Amino acid sequence: MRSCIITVSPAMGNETYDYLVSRVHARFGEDVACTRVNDAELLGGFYMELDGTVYDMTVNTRLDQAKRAFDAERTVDA
Amino acid sequence: MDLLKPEMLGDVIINIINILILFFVTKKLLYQPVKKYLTARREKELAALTDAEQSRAEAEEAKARYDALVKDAETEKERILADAKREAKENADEILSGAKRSAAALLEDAQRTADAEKAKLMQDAHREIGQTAVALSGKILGREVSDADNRRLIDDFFKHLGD
Repeated sequence: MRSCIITVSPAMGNETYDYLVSRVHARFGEDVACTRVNDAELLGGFYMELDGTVYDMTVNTRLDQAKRAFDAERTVDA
Repeated sequence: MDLLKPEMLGDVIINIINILILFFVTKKLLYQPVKKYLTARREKELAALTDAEQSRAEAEEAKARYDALVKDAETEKERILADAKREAKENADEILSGAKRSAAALLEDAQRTADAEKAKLMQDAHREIGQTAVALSGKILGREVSDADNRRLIDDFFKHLGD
């Protein structure tokens, strides 16, 4: 049995979470045991750790990437 | 022919002798000294004329030398004036060029400084706008991320994985 920790925002509904778990099982197999962890800092999306691999689909990371890309662009322009 | 009568001939001869004596005396006492005087005066006049001619020639020579000196002095004066004018113009041109170069350099520096300041201000403003936009986005998303949005994120994730 493989372990999977899924970190989500507390605002994510159970139906959405169950949908996520079903997609995980479909992709990685039914032998994956998913555990939900709520993180109030998350704005949206999810953070998943499975088989030593981290999958980051959080909105926070997207915003940080956008901010870094923005800063990098301005540095190049300067 | 009354003159040829014997009584007249004596008078004639005496008169002739008188005339001859008078002639020779006059010649000796009057004519020769006067001639001598006139000759001396003529020689004196010739000498004076020669001296005058010589003086005139010397004066002309001196005038020619003077004129040459004056001409040389004029030429030298013109040359000095021309040199002074040229030097003054060269100095003025050099000063003007130097001033123009300094002004251009100052302008260039000022322009570079202004451009750098403007670029920095733009960069700072852009960064601040970006950070504000990201912060606002965070605040907005924190309130607005719905389950539908989360489902879209989930679908995008597995699509990217090659589900």
